[in-house]
Amino acid sequence: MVKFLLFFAGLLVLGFIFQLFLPWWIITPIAAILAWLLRLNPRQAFTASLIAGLLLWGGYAIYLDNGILSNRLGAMMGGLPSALIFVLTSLVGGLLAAMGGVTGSLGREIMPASSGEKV
Amino acid sequence: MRYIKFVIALVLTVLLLFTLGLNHPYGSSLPPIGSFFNPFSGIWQNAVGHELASEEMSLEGLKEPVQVVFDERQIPHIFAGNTEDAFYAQGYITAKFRLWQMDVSARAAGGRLSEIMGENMLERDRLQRRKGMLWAAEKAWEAWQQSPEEKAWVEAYTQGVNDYIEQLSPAEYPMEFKLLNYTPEPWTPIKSALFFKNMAEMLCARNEDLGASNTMAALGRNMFDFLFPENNPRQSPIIPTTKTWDFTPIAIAPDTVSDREMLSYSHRGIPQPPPFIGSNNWAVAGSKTADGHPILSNDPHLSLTLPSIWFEVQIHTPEFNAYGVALPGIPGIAIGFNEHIAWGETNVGQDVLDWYRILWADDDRTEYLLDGERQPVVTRTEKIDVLGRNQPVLEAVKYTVWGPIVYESDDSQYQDLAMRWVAHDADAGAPSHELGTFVNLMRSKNYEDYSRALTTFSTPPQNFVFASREGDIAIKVNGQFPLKRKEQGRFVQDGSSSAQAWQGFIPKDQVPQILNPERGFVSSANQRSTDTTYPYYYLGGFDDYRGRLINRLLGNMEKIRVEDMMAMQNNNYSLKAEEGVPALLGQLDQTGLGELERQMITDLSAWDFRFEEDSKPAFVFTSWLSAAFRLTFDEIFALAENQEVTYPETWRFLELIYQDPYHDIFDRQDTPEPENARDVITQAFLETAESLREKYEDADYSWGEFKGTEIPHMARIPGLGTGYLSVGGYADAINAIKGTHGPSWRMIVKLGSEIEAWGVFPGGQSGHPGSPFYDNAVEKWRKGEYYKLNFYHSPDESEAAGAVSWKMAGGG
Repeated sequence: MVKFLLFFAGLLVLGFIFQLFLPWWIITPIAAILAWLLRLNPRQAFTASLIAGLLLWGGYAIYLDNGILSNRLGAMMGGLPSALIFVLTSLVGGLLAAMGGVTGSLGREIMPASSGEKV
Repeated sequence: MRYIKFVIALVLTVLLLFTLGLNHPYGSSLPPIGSFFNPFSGIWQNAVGHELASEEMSLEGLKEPVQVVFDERQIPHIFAGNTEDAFYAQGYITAKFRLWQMDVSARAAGGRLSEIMGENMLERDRLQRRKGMLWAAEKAWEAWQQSPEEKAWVEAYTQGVNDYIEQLSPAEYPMEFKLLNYTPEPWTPIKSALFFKNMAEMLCARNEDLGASNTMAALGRNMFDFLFPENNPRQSPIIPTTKTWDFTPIAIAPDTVSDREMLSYSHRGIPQPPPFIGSNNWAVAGSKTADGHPILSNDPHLSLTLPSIWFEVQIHTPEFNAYGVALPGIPGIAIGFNEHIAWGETNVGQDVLDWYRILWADDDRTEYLLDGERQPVVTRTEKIDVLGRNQPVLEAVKYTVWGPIVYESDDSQYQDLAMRWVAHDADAGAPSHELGTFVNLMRSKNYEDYSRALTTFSTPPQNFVFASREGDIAIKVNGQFPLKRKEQGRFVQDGSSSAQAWQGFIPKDQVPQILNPERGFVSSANQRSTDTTYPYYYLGGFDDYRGRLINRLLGNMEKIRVEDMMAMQNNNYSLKAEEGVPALLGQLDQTGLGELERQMITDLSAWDFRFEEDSKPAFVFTSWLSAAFRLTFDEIFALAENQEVTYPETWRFLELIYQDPYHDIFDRQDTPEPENARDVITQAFLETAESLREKYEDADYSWGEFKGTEIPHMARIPGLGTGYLSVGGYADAINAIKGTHGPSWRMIVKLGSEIEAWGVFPGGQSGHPGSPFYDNAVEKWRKGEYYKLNFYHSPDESEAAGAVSWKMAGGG
């Protein structure tokens, strides 16, 4: 559980910092590397990254929105309610992080057990 | 097993990243989804509006410090130490608010849309190049460089735009760049010139040459002359008929070639701007106003889009203090006022674009005949980059003595046509040009200054209205007008004879103009410039109703107040209905009408001819009139199925109903019996009533919905327009609101001891769809209300108003 929370918090903080100046896909390798280093099991890595990604993208989008933009985006996408645009944004972030996290965790699992186990 | 899981996860991750990074993923029109939704630099960064704050900035391009104050509507008030700095700041600020609009307008005019939008814009781009738009803009910039002042102004403006672009991070790019997935590129003086050509294309490229040639060939000269008289006897021209012409006109050589037989063209016309692209302006003298000072009003009508075509700005320098609306891409103020005078514009309907048939000398079409001699074409190869293609498309445009050959076809039934257009001529305005005109108007202190400023203006020709605090009012039909012999340019001309060329231009002091007419007002609404006593021939598309109504109303008004002018700009009364309704009703056979039909007739008879949004008779009238028009001129509509045609004007149609109801033209081609006006109008009414049955019975349905006004986004991106607006108005009412067209700026200026002004445009200062200032003025415009304009005399005064202030310091 500690590892899970550490991973989750680490991803939120590092994700936020790196995304400020690096492109949109940077959250994927960050999640992968963190999952690798902290040796999360794939299920944990997936869940924690998904939530962190959702929160980061969705939360920041909600923070930035002025109530006008989200409505216009909804109208642009065929009349979707603006809440759904936040959901969509969150999902993109969540998915990007989750796929990174699970790949990193599975990658660590295929490494020979001896190499990292005793560090 | 572990390996397999890992590989699957890895593959899925790569696939996800790949998909989210694609532009137009899998054939859709979507931008790359990952970067678009990324809140750290994508679309969410475009939720703007609260971002204007007082700032201090250092800018290399400035000579002296500039202060810019933004008022509560985000109108910039620029206080600069010199004119160049003022235009630098105007460029910088306009880019901040309208960068994408500037970029896309220049691309649209110059034929560079396929570069960002791909294949489906290619035909449009090719046509822009064939019309010589880029060529004309390059020539204009060459000419501007001959005038040191104009060169300096455009360069300062350009520098301002580019300094703004340079400090932008990708996260700050306007929304449309992200939607269309491209990056801003530097502004250039050519782009400012393109914006001028864009206005010329919108306002002075309309012509009926092909349609008139075809229609005359089909109907024969006599019928053509009968249906298309050039002068409406009821016309109330811009220059009052009391005017006498106190100059000796230039003599024009008579027509030597009169080969009407050749006039048959199968070409489809190129897309044209709508007819009578309307606008109103007027100025009333102090003798007619309540407090003895002149009042000037102007409402130019254009395509309504978001972002708005106009950008409101005040520019204060030691030389002048001017306020008004500017075009995003052009330094200076196009319509406005200063401490001494006010000016405004409407479009001149005169035809300044003619077509010449090319007679080829060889099969390769590299040489053409002119007066029997072979002349080589000059080929200009236009390079069009297309998104999704590796190689640019090359468009070879052939230039002749007339201009570019816009129509060229391998099919021998088509004739190749070259375009002669005043907006292709760049050097007409020496020693300065269009640009100089606006700046010189901003500097003007009196009638003499105004009159002199206008002499350098070529295209698009405008009716410049004027009023001064000294009490003068004036109007000038101003621009570069070709000297034409009678009917020259009415039909396609023979391009193998140099005698068919324009014989020069009307001298600038001989254009129609008047100062302080006895009637106490001047006005224009796109109608004919003069009565038939004016010594020069001109033709074109002229309004027949708004101008007459304006002159009638102003003629009857006394003790005019600003509120009266506001009411008049929003007047939905139509003279076309006043004359058209009795014409139709008078010829209606009412025997055997059903209940609904009788109701329609009762309502129509009681109608006050106002196109209010809740009116029902309004849409019965317009539908009935067009149905009757269609049945009457069925010969021409049939012709239109496979060629370009021209249609008689409504005033002539109504006149025929009164004067000649048994004329052959009313006979329908598709019936054996002969019809007259009464038959056709009755038939049209029955058809109209039937087609409108449901709408008429629906208590909530009215003219507003029938007209369906909305203000779309420039690129028609859904969600970025206003959607349906419930509003009155009609093409032939002073308040000329149509579907997506109408008053683009309403301005009223009172020239008292203090200048006071009111204005509103259907949009907002900001071009950013995520800003509350994108469309904040639409509702006020819809209701016919105005903002009082903040005309400041010093930065202190404006700061005292509690506004946001930018202090821009020079870097050097």
